[in-house]
Amino acid sequence: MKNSPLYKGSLTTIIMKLLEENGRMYGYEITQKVKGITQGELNITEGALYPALHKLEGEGLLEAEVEKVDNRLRKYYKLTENGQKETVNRLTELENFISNMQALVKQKTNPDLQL
Amino acid sequence: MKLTEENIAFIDSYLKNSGVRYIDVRYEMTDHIATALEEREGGFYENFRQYMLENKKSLLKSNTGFVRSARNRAVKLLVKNMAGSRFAALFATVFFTALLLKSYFLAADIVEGFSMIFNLIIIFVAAVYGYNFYKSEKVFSVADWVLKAPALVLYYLSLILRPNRLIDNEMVLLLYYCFLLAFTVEAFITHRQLMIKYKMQFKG
Repeated sequence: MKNSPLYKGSLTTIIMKLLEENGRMYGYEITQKVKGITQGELNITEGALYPALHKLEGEGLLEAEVEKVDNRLRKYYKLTENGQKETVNRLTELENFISNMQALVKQKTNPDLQL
Repeated sequence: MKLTEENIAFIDSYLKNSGVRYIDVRYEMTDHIATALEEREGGFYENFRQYMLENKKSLLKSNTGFVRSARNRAVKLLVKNMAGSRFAALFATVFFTALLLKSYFLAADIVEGFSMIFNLIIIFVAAVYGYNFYKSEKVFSVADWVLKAPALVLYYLSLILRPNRLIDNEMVLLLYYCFLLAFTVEAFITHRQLMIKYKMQFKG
């Protein structure tokens, strides 16, 4: 994961958005999906991803299913009913944040206000 | 390149030797590493060595996060269960038993008896925890903390604060032991329920 608080603060929302779109996913799949969508710009490490997944599971926003795949057990995550509602809230919040930031960053300096 | 059962066992064993104690954490990490290795060309051992050079630090960081998350979830679960009807029923049963006994015995004797029962339960819980720690191959994270967290709290309460010396009122002391007994039994029931849940979930 890029070493920026901006990305870190959005990690759980990114995870929830991906699960909303894909139904259920396992850890490695999430890292690869993010890497793919951002064309390698954003690389979520195991150290950031799994604690975030477990935090969301502990909060009751995700639930897990375990299946045997190719000689090993694989844990799939999916959104709970509460998780689906919370995803909508968090995405709205993130979109508002992005739009406010864009407005602030892109605003042209008013010459009348300059000293 | 699909990994063999031996390759999977090797990854699991490597993680265990690197301090990843909980089996549920290892299952997830093993799958993550195995999936990454399956996307690489070449021999398993060389790929594994290379992968660990690149990612071991992050994997172990993830293990620390797992442990913290397990501890928080265990405490949250215990607090939630203590606000539930089972804990209320347990506490009421112990307390009314104490009141019934009070008609026949001195309060000080009941306190002593309850203290003894409490110590026996603690020894039993410690034995179960010790067995899980040293013998059992399958130690699950949250279930482990559900036993460990109260054990630590009770250790401090009993050995450091020494409530028998701090509390003079026998009735308050009796209430304290009723609470402790109910709490210990609640923690043990929660542990057993979690173990059943984990075993069902990870049976594959």
